[in-house]
Amino acid sequence: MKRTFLASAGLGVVAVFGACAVVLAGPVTPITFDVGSAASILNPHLSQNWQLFAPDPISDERGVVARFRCGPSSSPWIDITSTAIAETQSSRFFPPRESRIVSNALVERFAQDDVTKRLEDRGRDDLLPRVDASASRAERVLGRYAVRLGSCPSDETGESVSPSAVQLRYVTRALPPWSERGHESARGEPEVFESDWIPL
Amino acid sequence: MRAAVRRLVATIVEWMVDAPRAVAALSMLRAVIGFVSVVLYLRHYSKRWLFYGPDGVYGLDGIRGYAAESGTWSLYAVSGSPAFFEIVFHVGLVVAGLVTLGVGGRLVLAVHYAMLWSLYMANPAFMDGGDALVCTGAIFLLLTRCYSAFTIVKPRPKFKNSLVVSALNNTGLLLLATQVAVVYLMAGLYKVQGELWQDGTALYYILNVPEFFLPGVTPHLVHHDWLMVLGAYATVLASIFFPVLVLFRAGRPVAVMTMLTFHLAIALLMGLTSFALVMAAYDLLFVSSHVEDMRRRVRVLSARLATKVRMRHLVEV
Repeated sequence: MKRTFLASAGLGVVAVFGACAVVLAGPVTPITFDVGSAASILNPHLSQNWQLFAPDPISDERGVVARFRCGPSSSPWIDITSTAIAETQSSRFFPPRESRIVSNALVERFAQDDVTKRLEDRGRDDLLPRVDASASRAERVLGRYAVRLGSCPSDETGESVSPSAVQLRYVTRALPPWSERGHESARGEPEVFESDWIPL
Repeated sequence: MRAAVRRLVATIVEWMVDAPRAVAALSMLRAVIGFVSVVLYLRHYSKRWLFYGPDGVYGLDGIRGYAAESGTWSLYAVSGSPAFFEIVFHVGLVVAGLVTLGVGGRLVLAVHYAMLWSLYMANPAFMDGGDALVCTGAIFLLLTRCYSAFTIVKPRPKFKNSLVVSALNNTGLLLLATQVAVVYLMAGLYKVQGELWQDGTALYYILNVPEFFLPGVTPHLVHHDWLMVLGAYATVLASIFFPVLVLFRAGRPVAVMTMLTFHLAIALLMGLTSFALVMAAYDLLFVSSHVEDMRRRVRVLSARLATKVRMRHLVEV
């Protein structure tokens, strides 16, 4: 009796975990609305997001440049993406993860959940949420990171000037399509989006 | 019919409670989790202040805010004191080393989980799927006898496995197996829906993303149309069929070998070394007897080698 009870208890736990994991990892369906809140007992320690380059992987190059407000003027733009990418490319085994600060913040800044995406597709911009907490957190992280990589030029007296705000410029450029691979000229035109000034 | 069901139930109950299963593979997973954690700590050691510190990219307020928003915690959010940060970071590093070497048992593994989770929450941008699996693995391994092998500590004299110990170990093992099956199934099904995966061009785009680009190799690889297309389709099919193949004893080695090849490619071509290692360790749970065989062979070989060295030394003396 004890043996059967122990086996059943163990298998029961496994079954509940498996069901919750499938609900959380799967697409949003009517079932998600019914049992999603119960399944989210797994979050955040056993979170389930396994899209892994799916449904469609990134097919463009993304980067960020930043400039600082230095008193009444602003500094030149500095690239806060390329150095970390070069470090990642130069080390194949356990490469440094620094480049993820920018790439992850970019994903977080422009991320849309399933419902938001559908609203946008249907032209219901009036129902779209405003820039949410995760987007502003992403900008804050990028701003703080930018300050570690660059700063304001010194003033005429040689005194260093502390930046009071940072502005980010997001640049995306499509990779050459499959049919024109190898032709650098086939890359798309860069698309640019600028943030507001973010106080530091 | 009823007899057949009874036999099946008896077999399942026997499997669950008669002995702890797959302890060699579970121990290997524990060692791999420790190892990739040590690497994570050391890889960013010189820039730890920038990445995780109270004045780093997230900063103390950012870490606290993220933890509160996610309904979780991080030891790095407790204090902004530089000394406190250094203590938490270095204790985390030492504990990860102990887990790798198999020292301290499950209590140390639990502490490792707390330290590592705190580190992830101090810089969530660094987290990838491999890290999420490390967290899941560390939690479920607490139920198992994952210190039975791959440890520098002399194993304790064998004690009789109680029903409860066996049931807990096997529940932990099944939870881990379920987790990896869900990963493969979902990753595969989502890919099926993707246009680029259907076209067979997804690998071309992934390998050309600057973060995964391998200079000198990627430009040559992406010119092999057949390789790119077959690679994309093989990735999707292998992911979807993995959970099915591992249900049958005969299918397990095939499924595991396929995925090990796949992870080797991910590690080499995309630089996702930690992710690939953790996934490979999860895969090996399905072929624990092979892991045990391998471990035995390595031990025999190293014992022979040690004897040879000793003999040579004696002759020289």
